[in-house]
Amino acid sequence: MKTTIPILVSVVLLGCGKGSPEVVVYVALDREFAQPVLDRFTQVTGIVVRAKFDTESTKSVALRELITREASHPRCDVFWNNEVLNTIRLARANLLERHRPADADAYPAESRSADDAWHGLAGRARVLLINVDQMRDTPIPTSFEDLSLPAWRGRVGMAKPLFGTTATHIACLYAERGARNAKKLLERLRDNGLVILSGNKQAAVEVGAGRLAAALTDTDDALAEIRARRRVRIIYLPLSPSRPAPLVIPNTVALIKGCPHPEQGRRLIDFLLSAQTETVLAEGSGAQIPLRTSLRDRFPKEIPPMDDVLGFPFEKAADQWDGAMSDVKSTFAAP
Amino acid sequence: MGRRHERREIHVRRPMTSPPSQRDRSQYMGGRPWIDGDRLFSFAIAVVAILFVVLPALAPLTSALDQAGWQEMGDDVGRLASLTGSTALLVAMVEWIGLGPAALIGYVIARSLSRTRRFAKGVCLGMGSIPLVLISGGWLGAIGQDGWWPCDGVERGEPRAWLMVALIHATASLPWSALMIATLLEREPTGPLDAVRALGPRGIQRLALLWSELRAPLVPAALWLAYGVLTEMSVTDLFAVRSLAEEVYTQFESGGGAKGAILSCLPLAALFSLALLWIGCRSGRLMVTSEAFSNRSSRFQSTLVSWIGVVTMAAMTLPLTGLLWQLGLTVGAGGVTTWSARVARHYLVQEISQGRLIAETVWLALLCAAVATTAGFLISWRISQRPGLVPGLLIVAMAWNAAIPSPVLGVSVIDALNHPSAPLGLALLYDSVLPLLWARVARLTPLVCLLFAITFARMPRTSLESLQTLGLSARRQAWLLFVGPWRGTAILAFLLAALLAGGELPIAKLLAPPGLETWSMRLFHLLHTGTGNEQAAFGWAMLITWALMGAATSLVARWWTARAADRKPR
Repeated sequence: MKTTIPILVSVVLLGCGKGSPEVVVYVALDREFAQPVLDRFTQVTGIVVRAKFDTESTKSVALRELITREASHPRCDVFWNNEVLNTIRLARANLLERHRPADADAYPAESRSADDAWHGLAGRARVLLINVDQMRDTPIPTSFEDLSLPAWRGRVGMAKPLFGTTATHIACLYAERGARNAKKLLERLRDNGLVILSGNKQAAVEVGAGRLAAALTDTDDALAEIRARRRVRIIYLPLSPSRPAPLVIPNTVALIKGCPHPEQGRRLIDFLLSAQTETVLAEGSGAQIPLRTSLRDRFPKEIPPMDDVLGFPFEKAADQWDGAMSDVKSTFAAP
Repeated sequence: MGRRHERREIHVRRPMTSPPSQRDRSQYMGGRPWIDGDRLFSFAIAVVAILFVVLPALAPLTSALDQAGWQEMGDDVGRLASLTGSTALLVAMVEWIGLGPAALIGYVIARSLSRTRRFAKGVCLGMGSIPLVLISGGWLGAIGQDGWWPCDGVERGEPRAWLMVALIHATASLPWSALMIATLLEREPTGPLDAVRALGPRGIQRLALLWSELRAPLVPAALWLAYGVLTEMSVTDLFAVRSLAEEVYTQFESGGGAKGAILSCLPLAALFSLALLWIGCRSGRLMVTSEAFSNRSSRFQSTLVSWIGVVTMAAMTLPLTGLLWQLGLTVGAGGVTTWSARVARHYLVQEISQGRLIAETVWLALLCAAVATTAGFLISWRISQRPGLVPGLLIVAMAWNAAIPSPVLGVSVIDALNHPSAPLGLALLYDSVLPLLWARVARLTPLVCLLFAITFARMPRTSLESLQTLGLSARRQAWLLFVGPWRGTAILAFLLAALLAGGELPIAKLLAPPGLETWSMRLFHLLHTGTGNEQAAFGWAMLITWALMGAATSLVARWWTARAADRKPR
């Protein structure tokens, strides 16, 4: 008895479930949207998925940091990021394993890295959600510059710009406009009383409730407000006058170099890049925008149509990441 | 003189119980093994103390006190100083809001009749067991966008949000603070005060009298309120209010600046731990003097004070009404919100059916509580046996442990184990729940020790001495104390540790391995994604499980007590 208890405790703490095949996945996409897909994968393949999700407040960046910290002893097999820049940063740190799924060619070439280190799927557009009741006396904004006008003082919100798709959006602004101009724009927005909220969901909710006139958010959060019958409307805000297309940020999946379950990891990536998964993500409450050309008819009907789904050079934005985040910290991170 | 005499007595008795010295070892070599049970027991206690008190206390210092840490702090000194100031301001606001009601409720409880007092303490224990993250959810459910009492600007980091954060922390800490005040007031010598009261003082005199009674118990309550603010990050995160604890977590997760933030936390932690030590010394003296006044001459109840207590307790139920409101909320045509019992039942059943999540949270909480209770008991017992330099240092380390914010402890554990040259540490960190267990137990052990220390201070010295004179082994003595006079404290400590471990967020968020999700993590996530019905249902599922856990523990405690009573010689 004296030896049985420690052995049992050790088994429970260190090794339970080691018998069945498993795959460890770090997921930055919201649990509500990702979990059904992962459950389906387990049903189809019998491979148990051990998922680690992050929270809205440290979206995608926290998981990227964790993978970097674990680099000498990876435990993550697959990184399912809800954006692209932090995946590119991992690829540049040589932490990703190349893998070309069978269905890779069904996606446009710009949705994956040239060396197959990562692959994009279902995306979300960055939008300005406006409350139509608050727009009666104010012209609808058509550019970022409009948001820095006195009419919008203290009426516009945004999630913490250090994490998730908001950070990606800022880095893309830097890539598109140049660091100096982008920083000036951020300072103007800050001086005009830009409200910083804990997440994109909160930003959308504030607009839906009419407490803010407009907020920068993602299409899935904006759609939740539309489907809740709030008096809101989606507007695409171009990154610059020379690039009128909306910014669509794809999910990305990648295999981690030296991961403990590479075979299971490859199977999960193949599953995630299947047409079935993109359809589920597009038709689910997250209403992700399909990247496969064959699934364009599944484009969520509440989202205004767009011509150019993937046209932004994300590699260029990844170059700007460190500088942009440093500026964001100094501009917005004061308590 | 008396003390010296007492020491000499113990010295004479020591050879009967203490392990053999170097000189006497030879006489044991023939009949007993060289490492006997007592020596092994002492060694085990030392290991427990090092693992759960000394190492976690040193970890933040070793992880942040280096050149990089000073550099980070120097680069960002203005912002970090401002954050330190805002955290201190938040603590002050929480004290300002929370201490008054806590003092009044504690006073009413302490001066009530025995049966009422027991009931009120039970209510406080129940209310205090609600995790902070759940209380935050309830408040958002009540005053957020779809709440029954919506307020503007509370989620935006505006002054109103600061007030909300302070209010939530004060509300969450209220039951424990009130309980502390009541428990300490019960032991205050009331005889002389009752005599003064009999003279019929009025107005300012009466207030002065009240203040003189409450002054000492208010200090630990104030510390408990500060502990809540310094250690948690969920409320500040939800309301976009920046504090040092959240800064450490956010900076670490974003890959930079955590060392500077950790260093900024340390002065506040040092102040906090000094205060804890001061209270420890003072309460020890208080306990000794209270023995002389065991018979209270009378109690008085003020109707006004009772009403204030009732109203304040009612205010605590606001988060629960928020959770209930959110549970059955539906948005109809034109955005009209209605409440439906059918919807509430549907979501509740759906969440309760997630047995895996419930089981994972509960078994981890129970495991943490069991280890923390055992560790806390062993350390307290050792300290009570041999006062001296080493136990003194251990007490200092425990006070420091209790003072450092939870995210700092979590980050320090990661730093301690994350070395590519130490594969065992990496394996433990990445593939097991041991780091999570370690950090949580390190967090809980000082609190458990505090409970045992109070019990020890209340126990007559003769009880300990009688155990020693029986010539029992150290292990046997400890066991008799554990199942005897310290049994009630052990049960209370276990329950408190299980509840705190189950509702704890920052350490779980930093150290949970893939595939493991605790309730606090899930609820924190739901609060961010804004799925109101699920979030409320989850909250209620948590509450129901918590209540069942509490009921099960009290049943076990009752059974244990009855069993012990049966064994007593009649």
